[in-house]
Amino acid sequence: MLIRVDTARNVPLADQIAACVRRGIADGSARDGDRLPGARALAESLQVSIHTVLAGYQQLRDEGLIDLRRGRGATVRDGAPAGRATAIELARQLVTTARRIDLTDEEIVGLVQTALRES
Amino acid sequence: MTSDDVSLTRDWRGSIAAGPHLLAVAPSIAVLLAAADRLPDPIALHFDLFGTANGLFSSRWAAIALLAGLGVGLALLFGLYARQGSRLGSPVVVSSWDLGRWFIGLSWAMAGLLGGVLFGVVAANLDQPTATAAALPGWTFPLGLALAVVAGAVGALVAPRTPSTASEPGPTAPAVPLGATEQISWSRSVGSHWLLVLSAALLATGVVLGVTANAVAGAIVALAGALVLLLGSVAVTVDRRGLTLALGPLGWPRVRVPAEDVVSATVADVSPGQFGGWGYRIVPGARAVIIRSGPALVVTRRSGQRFVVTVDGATTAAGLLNGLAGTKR
Repeated sequence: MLIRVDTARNVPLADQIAACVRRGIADGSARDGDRLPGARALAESLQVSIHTVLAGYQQLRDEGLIDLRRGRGATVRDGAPAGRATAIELARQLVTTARRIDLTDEEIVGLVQTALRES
Repeated sequence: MTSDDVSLTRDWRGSIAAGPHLLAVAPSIAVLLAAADRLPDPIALHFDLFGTANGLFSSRWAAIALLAGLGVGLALLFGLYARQGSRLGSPVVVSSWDLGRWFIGLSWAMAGLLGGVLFGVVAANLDQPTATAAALPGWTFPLGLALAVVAGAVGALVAPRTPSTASEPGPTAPAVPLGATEQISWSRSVGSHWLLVLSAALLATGVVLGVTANAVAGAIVALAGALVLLLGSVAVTVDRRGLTLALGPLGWPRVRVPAEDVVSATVADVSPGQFGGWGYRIVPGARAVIIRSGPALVVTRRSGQRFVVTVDGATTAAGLLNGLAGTKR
């Protein structure tokens, strides 16, 4: 799995790390039960703080994509998370695109509700 | 070269590697057959470091069977391996040496050493009243070593040259462009189930052996098991620092190829036969970590040396290394 972060981008590094892992899970390069790189090793590799990596991993855990266990490190959660990762990634892209044209949060939620009603 | 020629070369190569092992045991067997009246019964076949007979006393016919079995067994082992090795052509040159020839030289040298030592062992029994009186002649090991050197050189000279179907690494993986402020980390683990099983078996055997029989022998077998465990899996990482390999379950020891040292990287199919086996291999022109056969990351260093590691999905890794090599220049 490839993790790329760019310090010049206007996105927090933890979010960039989480996005890379999410994409890795979505495209199948990280499968159920696969172990993610250790936080310390990944931090050294990317030359970022270990807290940044852990913040990214916690984000993925909150999204239900990975398990974080003391001693075992981070593993991709069992139960076909590829589709879930894709859905989360699309939701984030929706928000980014909508914000770019200055839609309010209510309008964005309204878009999703309309889509849900009509599907 | 037609396929018939290739299979002929293969048989020829196998025969050349096998032949000397049959020759090596012949003089000893001849002495055992011809000089029955000058040999004690049983005869001594095992000696301690000082050349005193210390075990494995056997009858003359059992000794003949043992030597014949040893010769045929080694001939089969080396012959089949040489035959196999020549079939494993790789599209990529990983060594500047003709390893097929080198292997035949090694086979001949082993046969020379064995032939010399076995002859010494049989000769030690000549004209002795009993097996326990037998003492290994002082010339046994010098003779074995001299035969090994001469036979090895002759073997390497008569061995057929490997037809050079292999080429320099093909088109290298397209460089992945990297921004000045960008950080990357590609990682992938590769492991071999049967190396882990082998390691567990060695560790268990070592413990049992150590408790029931001999603590030193047990420790040696267990140590071999631990070494196999270390080389049964590897975590490969590519980042701005270069290529890092973390061996074994603890991720230690580590092997690193710094990014400054990378000229280019590509992906190729390799087989353990090209490197003389599994694990951390050093062959002329290349170093390698071989866990399995199949796709591998092949890195060319500034010195012209290659570094090879068997890992899946290495195209991305090779592209990143090429990108890094581009930015460093």
